[in-house]
Amino acid sequence: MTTLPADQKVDSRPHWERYKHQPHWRNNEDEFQAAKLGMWLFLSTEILLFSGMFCAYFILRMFHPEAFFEASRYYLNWKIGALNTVVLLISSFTVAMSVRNAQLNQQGWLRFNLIFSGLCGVVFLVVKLVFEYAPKLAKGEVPGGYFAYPGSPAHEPSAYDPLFLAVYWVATAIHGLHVLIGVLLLFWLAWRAYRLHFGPKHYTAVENVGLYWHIVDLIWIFLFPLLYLVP
Amino acid sequence: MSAIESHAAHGDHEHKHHVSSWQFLTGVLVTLLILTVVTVGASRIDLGGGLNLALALAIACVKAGLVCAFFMHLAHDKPFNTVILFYCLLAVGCFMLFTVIDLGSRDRVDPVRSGTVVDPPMAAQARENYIAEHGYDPVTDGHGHGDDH
Repeated sequence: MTTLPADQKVDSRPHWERYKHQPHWRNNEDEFQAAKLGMWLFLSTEILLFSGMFCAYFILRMFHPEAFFEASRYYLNWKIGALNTVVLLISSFTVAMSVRNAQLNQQGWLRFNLIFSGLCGVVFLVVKLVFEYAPKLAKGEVPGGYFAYPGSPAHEPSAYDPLFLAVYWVATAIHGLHVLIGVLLLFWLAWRAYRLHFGPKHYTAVENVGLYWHIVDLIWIFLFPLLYLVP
Repeated sequence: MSAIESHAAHGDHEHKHHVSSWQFLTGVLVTLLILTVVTVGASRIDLGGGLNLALALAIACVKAGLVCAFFMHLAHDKPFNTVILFYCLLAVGCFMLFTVIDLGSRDRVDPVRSGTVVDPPMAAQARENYIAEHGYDPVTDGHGHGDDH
């Protein structure tokens, strides 16, 4: 009678339970903490990326406070911004819940929360494209030298409207790109969750994509009042 | 067995990550949603000066703090991750502070440099282009031409 060598036995345990750290780590925990540390370093570069746009906002606003106030009130609808804020906050909550689900091996809830969070990101993008970007492009409310909005009796554009729109378009478009990447990552996580990749002993990817998604939410927490509710 | 080997042998079973209760996470979400309503409400009241901006930023910072501490688990994490975040915020603070000081005080150094950073002619140009193309001024003669704003 032949038996398989010990290291070739079929391991029927789920992926997360079998998971073995890469050989250059002492254990799974060190690998997890190092991956998270790397994620935080990456997130700090993300904050620095957006700080350039926030700085441009503060400088231009410092010089043209009235123009920014008028432009924000006229070009942007705070209700759309508030709706997207709520959508992102709820998705942040479900992502935080998905980490908890992985820690407690609640596989069904883990899948649900990851897919739900991804769908929230899709809602955010659809609202942005359909209710903001498309009408703005059609009317010529685009930034800088491409500005082609001729004005209306309700609002005669000042010379600084293209500047406000430049900050708006650049900041929200780069943020939107981050949301798009986050959505793809969340659906990738959901696909892996269906294959039982995540559980109490291994959920590094859920944790790190979660951190990324929360940063995307954080940026929006600042963009929303500054752009839509120019105080 | 040396201390390092011992740690390696038992490391996988030693760590206990903090698990947030769903009630607590829900409480954080509700607080964030309430603060969003407060942000919108605060922008409707004219406090004058820079107070509105300061208030909006203060609320945003509280929201950011809640997300970082509890959704991103910094409150239960290794403190070094928090050090990285604060070091990054320090860099952002220096960046913004010195840019504002520079551009905000140029008129004291050289009066010629006061005023605007750039003076874009795009808005006036857009209006002229529109008049040349459509034969009327949408601002003064905009009624009845289907402008949907």
